[in-house]
Amino acid sequence: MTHSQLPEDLQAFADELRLAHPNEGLSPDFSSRLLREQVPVWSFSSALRQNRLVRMAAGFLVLLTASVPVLAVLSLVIEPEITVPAIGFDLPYSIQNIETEDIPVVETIPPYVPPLAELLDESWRAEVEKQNEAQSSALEFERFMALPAYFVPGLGWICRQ
Amino acid sequence: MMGGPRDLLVRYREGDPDALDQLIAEMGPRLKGFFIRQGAQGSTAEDLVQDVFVRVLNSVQGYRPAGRLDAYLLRIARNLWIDSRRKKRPISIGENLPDSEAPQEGPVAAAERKDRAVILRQLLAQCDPMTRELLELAVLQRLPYQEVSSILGVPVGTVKSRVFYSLRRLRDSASSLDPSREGEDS
Repeated sequence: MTHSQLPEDLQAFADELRLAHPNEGLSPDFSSRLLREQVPVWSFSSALRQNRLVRMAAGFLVLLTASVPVLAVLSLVIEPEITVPAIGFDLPYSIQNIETEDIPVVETIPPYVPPLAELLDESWRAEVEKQNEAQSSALEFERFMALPAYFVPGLGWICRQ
Repeated sequence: MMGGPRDLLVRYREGDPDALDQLIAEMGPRLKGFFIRQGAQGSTAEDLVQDVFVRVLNSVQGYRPAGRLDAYLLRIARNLWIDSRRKKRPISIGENLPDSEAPQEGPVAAAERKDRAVILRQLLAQCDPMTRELLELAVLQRLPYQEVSSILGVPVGTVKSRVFYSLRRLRDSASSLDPSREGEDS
């Protein structure tokens, strides 16, 4: 207790202080008013004890909750038979009975390409080369005539090329 | 009043009809005195005591006796008092105390007119709320320092030193106001 931990002089003063502050008495109807004001508090444990419906509901809830892991374990332990459905179709007739088709052999005629030497003979080719040389010479002369030229006394015409 | 196997609340929970009457008889006046010294008027103090018991009885199913029962009740009382003060306007210290002095009357004049108990009540009422609460729990309610420390949320050493210095200061003040006993307490 605290009073024994105080020094003696302070202990005497603490006792005096306590005597100066007496406790206040309660009114006579305090207990009856307290019982009237006491509100019944709902608690699950008390409801479980008193109400049969609550007990049944709680039991059902526990059963449902416990059944989930049990069923999960059972589904792992017990393997179900797996029946795989056959996928396909049935032929309405036997393949052996199909008649073979007679396909006629088509004969093709390969194209004929004559050799190039026959089309371009040597005489025609020599004529073409001669004409080309004449035309290129004529072109060279025309180009020479188109160039500017200067007349220098003593030297004659000088073509600037 | 210790908690434990013989705890009155445990006995009440187990169906002992006398336990509640005994609890009210022991703790009711102490709680009412606590509220009055904190500043409540008589009727308000009794209503607050009712609230304390209602709260205790409503939670009696979950009550686990750990520590002193009176400390448990005083902790609830203190919380209720704080809640009630939050809802109302703040009061001045000692406003509702039955024998507190009028503000204009000086302490010396009061000391000449009234006896030693009145002086002590007045001095306690003039303490700051923290000191008043500390002396209330540690001295008037005789709670152990450990319980006071737990209720007020301050270290045990702080409780010890504050109780010591507050009591000494209060004693010196009382001696100075009561010339007939000056020198007896020192």
